Amino acid sequence: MIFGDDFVIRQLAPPDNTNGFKTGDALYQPLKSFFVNQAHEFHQHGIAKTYVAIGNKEAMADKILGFATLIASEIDIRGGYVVDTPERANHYSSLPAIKLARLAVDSRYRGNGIGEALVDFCLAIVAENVAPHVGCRFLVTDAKQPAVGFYEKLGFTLLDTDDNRAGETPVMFIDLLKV
Amino acid sequence: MAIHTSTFGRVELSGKDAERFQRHMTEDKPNPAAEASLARGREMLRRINVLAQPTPKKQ
Repeated sequence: MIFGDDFVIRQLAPPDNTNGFKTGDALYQPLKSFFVNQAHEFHQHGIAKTYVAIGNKEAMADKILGFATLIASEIDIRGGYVVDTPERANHYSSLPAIKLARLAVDSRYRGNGIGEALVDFCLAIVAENVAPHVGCRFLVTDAKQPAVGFYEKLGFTLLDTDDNRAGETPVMFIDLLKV
Repeated sequence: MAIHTSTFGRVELSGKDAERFQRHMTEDKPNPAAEASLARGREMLRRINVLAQPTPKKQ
């Protein structure tokens, strides 16, 4: 599917009906629960902003094909070891980040590039509309294990430690200074 | 546990995980896949901004 022709991405809006969203596998049930029960409230109260991919053609017109949710976050490295370079790397005990907290594509529309488009869009929002105006060093996500490869293809780095690789939701990130 | 993270919260790293993260920060090279993702996202934002421009009225 092609952005602009087959679907568009915009912020979640009050009329959007989230009830019909299907996630399929039980692994992704928490994503549906959030979308149906909390996304509107989080969005309206400024807790987390959700972006939806919306069908743009007759058969899919106004259907929610996927969504992504962004929230302000931070990466706390207070317990880190000392490194020598750069000189002031340890001056900061925590680093500002935006977290890609939720990402899901309706199971009926997977394999069409919608998830990739949502990540591309979110990265651009953070790099273009957040980082230039407010301190923000990373886009970070807690990836589900089956999605690690998906995020790596889009440029996310897997924190390369045994604990993280073995975790249920490994931490992955994009360093905004390097894009 | 050296990693604490919650879906809608912060990421806390300590010990080897924090040390490795700092090495990622200082040693990793730019990732071409991330650069490509950002380029595609920027193009989407550009198209949306163009579409959002009011259509000039005919004189």
